[in-house]
Amino acid sequence: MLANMERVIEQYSDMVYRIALTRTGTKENAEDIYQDVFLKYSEKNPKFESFDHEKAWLIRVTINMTKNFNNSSWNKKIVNLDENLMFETPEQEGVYEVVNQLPENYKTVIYLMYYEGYKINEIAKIMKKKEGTIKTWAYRARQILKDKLEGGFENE
Amino acid sequence: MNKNIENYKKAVEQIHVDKALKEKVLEKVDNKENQRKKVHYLRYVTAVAALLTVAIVSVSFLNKPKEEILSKTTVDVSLKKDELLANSNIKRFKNIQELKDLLKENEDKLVYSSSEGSILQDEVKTNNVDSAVSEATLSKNEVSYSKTNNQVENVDEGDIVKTDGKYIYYVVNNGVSIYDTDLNLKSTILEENFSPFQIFINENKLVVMGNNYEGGSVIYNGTKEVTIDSVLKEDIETSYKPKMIARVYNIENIENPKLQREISIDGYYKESRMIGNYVYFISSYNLFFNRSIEELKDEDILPSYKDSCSKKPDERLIDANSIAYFDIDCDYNYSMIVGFNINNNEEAKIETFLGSGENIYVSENNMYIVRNVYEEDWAKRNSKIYKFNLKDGEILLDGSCDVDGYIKNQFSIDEYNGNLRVATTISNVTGSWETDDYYVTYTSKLTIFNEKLEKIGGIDSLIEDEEIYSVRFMGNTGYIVTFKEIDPLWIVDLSDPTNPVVKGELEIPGYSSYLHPWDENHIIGIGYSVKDNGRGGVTNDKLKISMFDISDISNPKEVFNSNYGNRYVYADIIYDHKELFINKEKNLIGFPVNWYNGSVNKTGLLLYRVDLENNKFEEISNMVGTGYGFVQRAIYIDDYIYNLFDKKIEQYNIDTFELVKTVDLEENKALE
Repeated sequence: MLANMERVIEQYSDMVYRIALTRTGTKENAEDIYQDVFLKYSEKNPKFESFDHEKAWLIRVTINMTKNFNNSSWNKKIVNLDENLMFETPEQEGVYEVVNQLPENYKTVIYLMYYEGYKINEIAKIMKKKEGTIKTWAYRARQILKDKLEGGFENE
Repeated sequence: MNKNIENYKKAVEQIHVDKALKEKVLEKVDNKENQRKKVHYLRYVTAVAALLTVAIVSVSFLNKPKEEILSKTTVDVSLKKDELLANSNIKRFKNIQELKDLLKENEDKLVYSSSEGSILQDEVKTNNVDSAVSEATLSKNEVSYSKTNNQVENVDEGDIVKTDGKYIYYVVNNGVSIYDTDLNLKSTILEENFSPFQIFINENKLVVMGNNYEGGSVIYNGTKEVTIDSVLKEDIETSYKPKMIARVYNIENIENPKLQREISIDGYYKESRMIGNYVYFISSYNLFFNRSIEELKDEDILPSYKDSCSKKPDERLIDANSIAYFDIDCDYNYSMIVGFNINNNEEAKIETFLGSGENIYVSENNMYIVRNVYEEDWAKRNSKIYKFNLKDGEILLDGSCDVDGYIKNQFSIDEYNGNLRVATTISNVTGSWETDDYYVTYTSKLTIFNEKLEKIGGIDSLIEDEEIYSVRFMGNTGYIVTFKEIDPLWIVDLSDPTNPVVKGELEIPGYSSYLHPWDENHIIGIGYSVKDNGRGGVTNDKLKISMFDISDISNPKEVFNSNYGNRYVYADIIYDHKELFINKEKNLIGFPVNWYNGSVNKTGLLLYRVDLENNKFEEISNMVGTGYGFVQRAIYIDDYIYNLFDKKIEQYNIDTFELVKTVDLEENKALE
């Protein structure tokens, strides 16, 4: 059993942390969530059909645990970059910061779509939302990104 | 590939969890594992027993009302209830089975509301430009101080900071810290597992509202056949069962706040208002279960609440037959609206509604919840408005209506003389998202409803192809900013609600996202100027503050403006009107800004002195400094301005703008 947890933590640590950080905005909160997610996994010890299933489950749990963390109207609160974050180039930091300013659900979709490479219907399943909702979030996120960044996130 | 996407991925790639933390978690898991092995067998046995019990007694359990658990709401409500039942659009469930049936019926039409929410304020019936413009009147102590930038005069909005001229009450570091005007910390309120979001001050009472995060409920993914194997094997999820809590403290002794009352209710805190001595707050509770609905117990379906001032102060379930709903609109969200008197121990009144809304609007007399309704064509959004009467703590669902398009925020709706004015944007999509050739066009629309929410007037299309960016209703006049490439400021005469007429229009480049009345003849707009993006469209250029002269509404003018920074400057005032700093007496207006320009982070209060005589905004930006952290609010008390950061508070002289003192919040030490 423990060997399994080692594998799970090794495999998904960064992913869980990145989602938690995206959604909560601070290292402290992200670390708390990170711990809780893996503790729950170990407690419940679910059996999965595949690694994809396991990964989706972990993403969903992380999202659920961070739901409404900032509790403001999506467009109210701006979450500033945690000062502990260091990036190689200012361009990378700039882009990350801009995405970081997006509303909670929008930036989650951006992360799942562009970093994890999920498609809309997969994201809908993971986040337990209608496809239409995810489409709308993706559309509006890209609109905002287009507005704040030269070239936005448009595919060329 | 797109350079931004590339940079984004590279950036994410560099984020790693601390190795030490990883090891710590592994260790924790190891310990738990050992404990688990002992409990596993016992759990297995219990699970089997539980399943059998559920299977055998489920029918009788559901049909037997448990007097101890269920409770009724107060008598007053039932009188209006009968009236409402006559109105066939609003129903209340006869019993919990009816509720379950409705949920089952609509399992396919599951509608999830997003976590968005903001309250829309109403305008007082007698409101006119003067009262909207009036500031804090001098208190008995002759101290002038900032008040929350409420949309409506007598309806206070919950906020993260409040002041009564003597003390500053600030929600920070997961608690509420109380400082005096010299920034000495008087006391801190910190409750376990609790995250405060907003507060109210009323004489010697402090109300703190937020969410409780402890506890979790395990939800099993049910299959049609619930077998022992499937319970243990299937997708098992856990989620927090959130609770919203409102606590009232007596702060007569400022160094020792005393908890006087506690009301807790399932769900997440959404919004609140204080009207006189009554506080109304809303909790949104998302029903989430993966089991078949029939198998659910009462406490899985019905929200629960607890009121320390109730005759039965233990936690209770809300009775199914006090839950209201519209049967064409099933939603897996409850909205619980609670009203209570801050000064007495009258039991809180609760209205529970199966439904939810992204935006909420409150007047002195009514609350409106506005929900986005997504069509098949996903870009198309219409709105549904639910109306609730508010009176002396009572909340009663009163009706609903549909309106085309979606609202921008709370300022898009306004109640005046009983009529409801709603400004919406309608989006039309051509092309398709998959092939990436979609194109969205907009129309802006104004609709006016009467007290019964029947449409009585409107303007179908202010202008083709422009989205609404900001709205301000003030009595008989409406100011609407639409925008695509240029920003027309529309002035609408609303004196005849059945026939609103556009009286004036002003076209300027850029747009205003927030409009604030300055005096009878002037409105200030805060937004961005724009520039050509080189691809046939426009993009934000700089942050901009504009002064509009509206003395002649058929001929509005932008008389002067000021630009600041670049488009990467974030000013939350664009989205949150409570970020506004205003001191009319000294002709000061401003807002917190955050600015990351690639190498340096700047944050602080951007202030302007309004000089109508010389037609200019005088920029005062020395309070914007470099450093991390960010300013959330700026307030003034007497001769000082306080910049409230997430990690510190700065005190400035309001005449010289010199820094007087800084207090580090983390350690509560004075730095100067």
